[in-house]
Amino acid sequence: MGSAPVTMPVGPASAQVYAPAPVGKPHAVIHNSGPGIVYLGQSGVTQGQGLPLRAKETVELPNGVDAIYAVCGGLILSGTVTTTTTAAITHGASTTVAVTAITGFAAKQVVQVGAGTAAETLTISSTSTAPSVTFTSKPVLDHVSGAAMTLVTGAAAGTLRVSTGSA
Amino acid sequence: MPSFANDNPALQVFSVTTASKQIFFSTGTYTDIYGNSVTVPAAFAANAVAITVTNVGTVTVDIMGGTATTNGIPLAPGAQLTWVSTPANPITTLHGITASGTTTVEVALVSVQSVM
Repeated sequence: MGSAPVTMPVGPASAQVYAPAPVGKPHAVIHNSGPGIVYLGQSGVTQGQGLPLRAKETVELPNGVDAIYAVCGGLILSGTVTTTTTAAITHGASTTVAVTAITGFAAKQVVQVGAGTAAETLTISSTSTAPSVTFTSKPVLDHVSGAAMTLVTGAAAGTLRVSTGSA
Repeated sequence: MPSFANDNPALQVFSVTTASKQIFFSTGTYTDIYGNSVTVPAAFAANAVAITVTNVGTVTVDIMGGTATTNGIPLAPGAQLTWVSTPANPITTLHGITASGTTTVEVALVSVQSVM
């Protein structure tokens, strides 16, 4: 016995997306309609943990007796508005960072500096033709000279289609 | 990459403990459950590929991707998970870990090309 598929948005906070039926042999089919990567796991799952489900991928649990939670997140970065730092950044030292170019950058924009686990997001206060960028706050991480600085255009979100039932 | 068990080329069998254990490898050549040779990740460029993980042991195992070690999808003893990828979406690695004790998982691979 199954129920109609339920479509639900997945955001940056972990939320339960599957509750196993209390009777019979519960099953679920979880499909990521996209666009962001959804991480499936237990309560409190965060981005980078659990099982990543990319857009258009599906996980089937023919005997899923445990609740499943999901989270989506991460940043959408511009593919064109990007530059690199020309000096190393020491955390907490200065709000101004020298860069190779400021084309496309402006006050109030949010940018990501660095990459991977060494990345942080900062808000631009002003730009200078020096060229340099001044942030509204001092960086909290160290960054090497040549670190990427990229415009953040949005936050990734996902949409799951969940079919459940029990046999 | 470890080889498949000789008596059933479709299945890889792993013993999983409280230390994270890699149970699917993102590169290599697999024999799927129909006997077809599937090269990963090249197969993902054109075909959907399904990977099935079954907990045939006695304690719950958490299944995770990448190198994560926490908050995976729990698979109780007897439970199964099938991960269906999409073309041009190379799958990452899979890992398993238990909260306590040791369990056994079977990992099987199916290329959609082989079942159409």
